Amino acid sequence: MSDPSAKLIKGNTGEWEVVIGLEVHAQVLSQAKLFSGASTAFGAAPNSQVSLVDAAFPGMLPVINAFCIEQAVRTGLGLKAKINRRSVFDRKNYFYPDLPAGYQISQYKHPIVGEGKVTVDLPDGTTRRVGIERLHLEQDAGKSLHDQHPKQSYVDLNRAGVALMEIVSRPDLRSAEEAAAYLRKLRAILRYLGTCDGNMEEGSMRADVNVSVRRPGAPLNTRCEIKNVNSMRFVQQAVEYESRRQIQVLEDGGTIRQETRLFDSSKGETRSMRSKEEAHDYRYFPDPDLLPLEFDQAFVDRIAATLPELPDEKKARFVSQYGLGAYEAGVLVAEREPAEYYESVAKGRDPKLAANWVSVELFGQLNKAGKDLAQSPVSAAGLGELLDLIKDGTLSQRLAKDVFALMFETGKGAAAVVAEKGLKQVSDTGAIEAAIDKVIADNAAKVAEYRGGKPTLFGWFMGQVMKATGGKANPGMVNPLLKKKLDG
Amino acid sequence: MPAERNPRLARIGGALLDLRRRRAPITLARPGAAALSKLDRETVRRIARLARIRVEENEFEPLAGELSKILGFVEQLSQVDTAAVEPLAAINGLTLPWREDRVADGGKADDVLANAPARAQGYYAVPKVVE
Amino acid sequence: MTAANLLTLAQAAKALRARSLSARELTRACLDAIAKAGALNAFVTVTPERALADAERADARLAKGEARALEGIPLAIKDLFCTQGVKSTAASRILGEFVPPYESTVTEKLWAAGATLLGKANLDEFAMGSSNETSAFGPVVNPWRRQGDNRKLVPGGSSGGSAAAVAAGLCLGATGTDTGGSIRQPASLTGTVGIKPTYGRCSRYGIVAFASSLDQAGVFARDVADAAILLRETAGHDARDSTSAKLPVPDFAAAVEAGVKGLRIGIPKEYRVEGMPAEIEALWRQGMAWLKDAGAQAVDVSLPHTAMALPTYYIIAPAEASSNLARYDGVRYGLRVADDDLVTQYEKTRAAGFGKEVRRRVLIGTYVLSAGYYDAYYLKAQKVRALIARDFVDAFKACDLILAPTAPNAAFAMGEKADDPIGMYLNDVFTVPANLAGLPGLSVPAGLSAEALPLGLQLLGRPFDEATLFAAGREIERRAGLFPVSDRWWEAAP
Repeated sequence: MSDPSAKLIKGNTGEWEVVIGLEVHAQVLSQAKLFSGASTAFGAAPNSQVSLVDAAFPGMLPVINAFCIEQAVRTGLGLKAKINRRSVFDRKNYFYPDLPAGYQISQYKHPIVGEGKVTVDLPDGTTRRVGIERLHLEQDAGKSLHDQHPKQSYVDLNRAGVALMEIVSRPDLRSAEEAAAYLRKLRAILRYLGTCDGNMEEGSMRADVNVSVRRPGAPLNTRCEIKNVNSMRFVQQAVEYESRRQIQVLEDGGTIRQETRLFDSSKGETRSMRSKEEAHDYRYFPDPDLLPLEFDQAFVDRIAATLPELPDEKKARFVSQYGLGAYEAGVLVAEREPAEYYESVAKGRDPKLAANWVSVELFGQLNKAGKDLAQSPVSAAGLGELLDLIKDGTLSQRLAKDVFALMFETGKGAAAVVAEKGLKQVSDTGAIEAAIDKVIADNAAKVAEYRGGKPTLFGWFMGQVMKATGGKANPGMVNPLLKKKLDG
Repeated sequence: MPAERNPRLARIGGALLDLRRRRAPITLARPGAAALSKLDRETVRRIARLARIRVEENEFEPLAGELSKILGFVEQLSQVDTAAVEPLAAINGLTLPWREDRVADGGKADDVLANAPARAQGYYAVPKVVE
Repeated sequence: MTAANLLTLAQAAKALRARSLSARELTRACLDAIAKAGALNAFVTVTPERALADAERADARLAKGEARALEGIPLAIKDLFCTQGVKSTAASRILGEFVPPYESTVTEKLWAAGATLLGKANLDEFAMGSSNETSAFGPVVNPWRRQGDNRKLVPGGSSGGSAAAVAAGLCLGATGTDTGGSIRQPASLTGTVGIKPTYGRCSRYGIVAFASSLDQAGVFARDVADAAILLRETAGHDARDSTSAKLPVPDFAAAVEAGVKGLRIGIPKEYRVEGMPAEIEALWRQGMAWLKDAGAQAVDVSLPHTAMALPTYYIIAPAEASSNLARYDGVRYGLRVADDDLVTQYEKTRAAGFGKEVRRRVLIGTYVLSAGYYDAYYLKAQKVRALIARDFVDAFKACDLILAPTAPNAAFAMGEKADDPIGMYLNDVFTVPANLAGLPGLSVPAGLSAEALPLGLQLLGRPFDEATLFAAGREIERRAGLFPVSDRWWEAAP
């Protein structure tokens, strides 16, 4: 656990503690919507992925998508949460043009998933445990466009009815960084599980951020809810802005009004939402079109049996099995694909060397090229091949870096690059001796200096020999031969 | 029909009779509950707003009276002891069916928009909403 | 010879198959009868072209010997069922011009069985009413009149148009829906047979929703056998309705003549309410005597929470309705009263679109679900509802069927109860419990009142045991006879 006092914000009248809880809406990776057979694909023509159920035509009825139930349970298991084998769908009633039925089908009193927890890795290497209050299934709303016409808003119902998992955290987060780190970790878990693609740009993951500030140790203060924040960076910015705003209001003698606010990413500010000003009374009640959602333990067990190893367990295993440091292991497991990539490189090889190559060389090149792992020109097998060439002495570490750069550039295999560019390490004694002899002959003064009692010059001779061989001489062979000739 | 023998049952029959004569609703057992059945103008205004139904100023008073009468009628339920009763959730042993995750609908924007009072460029159009 | 439109469905089907009557002739006879029945206002929309086209196709199949169960049978469809390409209004201004691009499951099944659509029957707006006086398209008039009294009477509601159309011989059968008695009470008031099957028996898909946990589709006919045929053709599992029962549908028509020998008929004490007209009490006694005559035995049963059924209903039904009717917002379909401000547009649209009774129920429903009141009203009602359902489970341990009056009165005059919501609600006192418990109920005409108006008896059964209701209903019908309207006064009306 990190030191909470480090998180305090200094105001004009003393220190303040920020209290943050997140409600994350994660779109279930399903083909069809939660209660209708319309597609969930992103980016289609307006209202082209809308069934009459989604548009709430008279007499249309919801029928639940089994896959969405499985994915919610799967996510619940991934969050180490209590799975409720009986849950209830309720109607949340309010009027809005992108809410066709005048109610959203959600789960209020009896969610499908109860309490769980997420371990958040903080940049300083510490971890923090964040409580999960619940996860429930609900329908997404449609989309309103306000900038297409001076006097009208346009409504597209393609998203209406798409399955969302709302994951509610406890107010356990204490800084903007922690909030972002929590979201990052949650996203990683969902992506490991394959239940949500975590794509925040396309809106398949969004966060409502609850922020309040208080004097350290004081009871919780009134909070404000910042709606629909759609990137890690924005979460961080929104919390920073909002906490400072609240501190200023309180220090100026004002009070915080419980309200819904909008984050304006262009200005980096939050502002009050006019449309949400009216007091809400959602009149939740069980949806009479749907019976309670029930399943048996065997259903849960079947899903549990297919759960992948999750980031925390994988990290622990990387530390114990491969002897990696916690930080390095954390970097490798942040996503499922790099972790798998690493493991296939490390298999049968030096795991620390493999970790270094993956997290430094590979990630470095990918970063530079702006590519993700899926687009990497070097496969895990390719990198493994390179490491094998280091091990058998064909390549020095230095040469290997050059070879890797070429592999990354051309997409060719390690052996092919070595053969093509003649980068193979020279391990022929005759050739190395010839090079040494030439260096000794050309640098008589330095030789005298060395022999006169300046052994530190040995490194300089090493460098000259390597240079003379175009870096290809096997350093392990150069060393004894050079020593013998200089000392000889 | 045999004559009524059970005095308790007769009383329930009597309650019905009371209703038929529309006497004052049976008093609620809960303290303060009497206030429940009396809807004032402001409450009617609030629920009309929640229900998004415009009610003209001169209608509030009579409407408050009508609704109060109905509430008085339904508040008889407070006489029933339900302390150990679970609310009815499913009827006739029906269970929730699950459907397969398959795209089998959509692609009917024309149908979806055909009855719209206002539409533009494939969207429904509404008066501008300020967020 | 009986006019074609006055035949029973079974008789007509026989004549059609024998080719002694064509579907076209039969449909024409009904359309002519409808044309002369404007005074009854039983239809919101009549679809003569569609009807004749349907009839033509039916005749073609009949000629080829490929007749299906309802081939060429002209029906009226309550205008709460969505019919593709045909205006479906729920008798509300808010859906006044709504043309659905889809078909309800019940009607889809009827057309698949060869039936003909005559038109959409009038009803109480959104099925909220017990007299058909709340329709935005004017009230329906009962074909029956009191002896020596020309005042217009209500046909009951909410399926008043369907009931009146069947009683007046404007069609051979009709669909209805029953949320608190909306099939059985009008059946009783018009001398027709009406059945509300078990909740889950008929799909609700495509039926404009009133109160989802109570709504159930059913049928009207002029005799029990016809009702059994029609229900057989409309019932069945539908994957598009999550509350539809996955059970096979028995051949109800075959069950009609099964008799009641050895059956125990429960007489619920609590239905003997003080103030009930003596003639209805007498009719009830008569009904029991008939069933005994047919070999059944009478047993006293108790349904202790009966008196709480109406108050329970008048919380649950409006609560569900307030939410179900939220979709009528003038955005995607239906009436819109335009305004520059969205909220004002919603409020004006819904004020103009909904009638008084609908508004009343939406407001009550909104109130009972609102913060701070949910537990005292809605939750309480769902608990009492559980007790009411349990009463029936207990009663059915001692009996196989329950016999009771359908309604506490015969047809009443128009306007008589229009300004008295609670008085109107009391019309459903005997029908509401079956909706709350999800049980099947059949109303069968059993006699005439002193004023020569029809009175029905109601049979309630175990879940999904409609077959026994038909068998018992038939025994009553066998002894009571049928109750056709003798004076077709409306044909002379202006």
